[in-house]
Amino acid sequence: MRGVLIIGSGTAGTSAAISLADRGVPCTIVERSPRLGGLASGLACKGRVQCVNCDVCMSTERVPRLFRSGLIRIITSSEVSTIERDRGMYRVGVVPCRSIDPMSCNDCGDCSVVCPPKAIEVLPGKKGSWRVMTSSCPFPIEECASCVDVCSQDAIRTGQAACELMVDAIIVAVGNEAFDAKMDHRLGYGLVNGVITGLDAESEVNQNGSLDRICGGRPPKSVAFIQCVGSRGRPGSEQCSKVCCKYSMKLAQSLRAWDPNLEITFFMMDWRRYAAEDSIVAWGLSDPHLTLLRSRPAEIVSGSDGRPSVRYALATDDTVAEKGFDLVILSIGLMPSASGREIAGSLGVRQSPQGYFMSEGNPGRMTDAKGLFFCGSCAGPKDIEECVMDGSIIAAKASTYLESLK
Amino acid sequence: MTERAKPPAHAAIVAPKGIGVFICSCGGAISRKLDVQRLRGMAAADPNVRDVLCTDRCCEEPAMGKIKLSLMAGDIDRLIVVGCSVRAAPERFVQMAESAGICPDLVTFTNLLDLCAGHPKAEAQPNAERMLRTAIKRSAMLQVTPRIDVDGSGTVLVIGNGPSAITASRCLLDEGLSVIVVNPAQRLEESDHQSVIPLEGGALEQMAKAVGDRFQVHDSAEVLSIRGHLGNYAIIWVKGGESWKEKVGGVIVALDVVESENPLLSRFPGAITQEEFETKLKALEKLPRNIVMVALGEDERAERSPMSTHDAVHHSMHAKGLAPSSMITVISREINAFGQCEVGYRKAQEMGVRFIRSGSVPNYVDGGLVVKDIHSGFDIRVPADLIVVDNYAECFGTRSVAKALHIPLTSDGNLARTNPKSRPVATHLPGIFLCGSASELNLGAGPTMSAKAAASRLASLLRSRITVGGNVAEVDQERCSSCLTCVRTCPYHAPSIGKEGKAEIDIGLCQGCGMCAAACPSKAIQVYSYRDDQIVTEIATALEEDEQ
Repeated sequence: MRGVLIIGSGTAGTSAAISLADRGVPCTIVERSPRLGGLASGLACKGRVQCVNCDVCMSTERVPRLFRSGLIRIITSSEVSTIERDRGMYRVGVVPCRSIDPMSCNDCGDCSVVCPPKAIEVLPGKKGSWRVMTSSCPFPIEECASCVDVCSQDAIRTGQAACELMVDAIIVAVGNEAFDAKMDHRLGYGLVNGVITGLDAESEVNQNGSLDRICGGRPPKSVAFIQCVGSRGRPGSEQCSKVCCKYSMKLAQSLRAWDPNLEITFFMMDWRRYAAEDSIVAWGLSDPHLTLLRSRPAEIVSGSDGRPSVRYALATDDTVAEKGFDLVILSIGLMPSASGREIAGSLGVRQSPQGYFMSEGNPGRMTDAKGLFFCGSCAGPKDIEECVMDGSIIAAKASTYLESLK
Repeated sequence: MTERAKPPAHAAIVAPKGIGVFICSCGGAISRKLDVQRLRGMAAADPNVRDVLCTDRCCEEPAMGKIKLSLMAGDIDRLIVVGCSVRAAPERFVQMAESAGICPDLVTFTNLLDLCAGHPKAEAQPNAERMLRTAIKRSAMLQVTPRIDVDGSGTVLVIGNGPSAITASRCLLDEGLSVIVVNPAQRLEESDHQSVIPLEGGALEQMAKAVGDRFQVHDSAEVLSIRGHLGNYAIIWVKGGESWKEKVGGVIVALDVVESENPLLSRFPGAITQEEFETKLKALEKLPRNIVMVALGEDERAERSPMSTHDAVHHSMHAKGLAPSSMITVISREINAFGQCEVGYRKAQEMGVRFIRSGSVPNYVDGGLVVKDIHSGFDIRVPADLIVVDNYAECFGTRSVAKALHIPLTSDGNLARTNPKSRPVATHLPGIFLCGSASELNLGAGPTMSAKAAASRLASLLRSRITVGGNVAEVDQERCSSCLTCVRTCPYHAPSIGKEGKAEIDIGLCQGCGMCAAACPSKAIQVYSYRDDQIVTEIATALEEDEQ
């Protein structure tokens, strides 16, 4: 048995790999970024007082299990370049992508200056900040090596050597990307001080334990959450991202645990939740310092006092209101990932108009006879729980498929 | 009753060959607060310690390799890792130790990182020394715990009444397992209008025909009790006053929602349910001019059961397509249109369906509804020739399952999962899984998805090697006076009186809680790794005066 290739090491990919290994099926994970765990690995635990099921322990708990099994091979900082059908199997070419070795990086910033596509971002780390290569670097190393040339520490790695894999089945788990809030200019992300995305807020809490640094070293007194940024309309996805209501309310609950007098305002369209989040909804409705405004803000500008100021209108009156906050958090949604499109192209499978993988009649299978599967949020927005379940479902399908080959 | 899992012959406490101590500086997080060299000197002074190594970042490859080499070179049979709190790392150390030929039972961890984070420098050092001293003493007294492999049964019990039970059974049958369905309701509901992928009619019979004996369904039956462990559960269930016994490898609780009538149905004249409306749509009946869908309820059940605006969105769109001139209004507090459904919601709006948000149930006033709009606060009058109301979705039967299977209930009356996020379908009992709406009200694709996930998890558990044991209780047959105290005390029914008239512990059932050991009047029971002498020595070591 040659095993299964899993593209992507996010929640769904990790879950699929663990379930396959439990069944004794060898698998290989190819991950584009230098880190395993996907989007969920950058989030912060929101259970200040007690567990609120925010999912985040997921990446700390599941990723290490990949190493425990001897059946999982992990290739990071690499991507799938070619997929060919060969005598009932797949011949897969894996090429290295560029990455930055965190141990050697001294955060001098030279690479960020010279990088033509600005594909290097700064991540705060335990040792001090370090830089990472995002997946948006489009050039092969032969075409652009400016970062390699400029680095005095030799920290730019070009990944493990290119290799070729022979596999029986492929599971695509490329997941989603977070919406780039800069695409919605009105909301002033990157332009107005104190406007951050939900993802920024989570990683800030994760690294520094609070949001004080963003508010100039003081704890914020008032926080606004703008819902549906990048979801339910252009720019962004036309779909509902499903997770934002949940994570922003849990984040708000966690902020409340720090400061019982913090003024929290939600600008929202609908309050969408699963049945399990009823207690959180009840909290949201009963909290005296929490305001729910049904309005989509027109724009966010820098106020005269340097704080971000939100302009909005309510259905009840005709005037435009403006209100300043210490901090504005944009609840960004999920977008189908660009690598999903490339992979769909090289596999020759159709995607939905929104850019998600579609199941043709049979959930989770593009064309089940050929051993091509997909799981997780590359088939539509999913929360972590659904990704975990989806991963183990597809693992069962893939292992049944492998048995049918014998 | 289950076959008893017998422990192997008493594992003697062997004198340690040698202890390896590995102290991690954790990138400075530990070495900044603690004098690591002093700890090293202290550990090396112990006669049992063979090797002490101070490294940085123990959990990463270069250091890990160094530790492995030293383990293989020296005369070492047990290992103490002094360092971090990351839940991740222990597994990697255990794996590394196993590959170096050290039994996982003999690996101990001392968490200095949390100590460093939580204590000032002056307190941290003596505390760290105390912890290390205790760990070395403890390590020297560890013994290999009993573990045995058991043969699992290839049959699975599915407790369920609807589509998720059928989906789970189908997946299990595909994996080559046998399935017994115990259904508390009168018949298995093959599809429900809320599941996105309904089964075609007659699918159940076809399935039963295809697999023959491997699939049994017992309607109007109830599980009474369950005993045993993963791979080997003995269940007793009753049907029509008769009780039956069966041996199964695992259990899937796949309870689905049942519709219960919304009181609004009788309040509004001529109101029908969404299900009835769907039938009308399918039959292409002529629709009246003014249709109002109310996705609200007024008692506490409405709060618990998510009103399916999903149905309202799709049915209103469909109806508008059939009768473009009709006026369709949907009244609801929120429009729950997740994912792709949002596109349908937008399309329905574009087609001219009106959505009114209201926090309270509208009033019926001669031929129309008066609804309070939450945006503007105004009362809006909506003419209504036909009112469509959504029924409540409720999950019954969790209470009796909880009692029979010893699964705790949550405050909402659902069955509790161990960790809803990382193990969304698992209970605290290995081999017992929850799906459908057993653990939370699940609509849409949720029940089918969780059913498949539960079946997949259980099948992979039953297919792999099943090992029971670990830190379990053990009875000293000489001292046992057969007083039955342990038998009465144990919440897991692990002790029983054996053939020789003395107490015996089923190591498959034993959870190592130590209640029997504490209760035994003859002091005949000890728990592996937590024996009295171990605990006493540990306490004594921890309380020793600090050496200056």
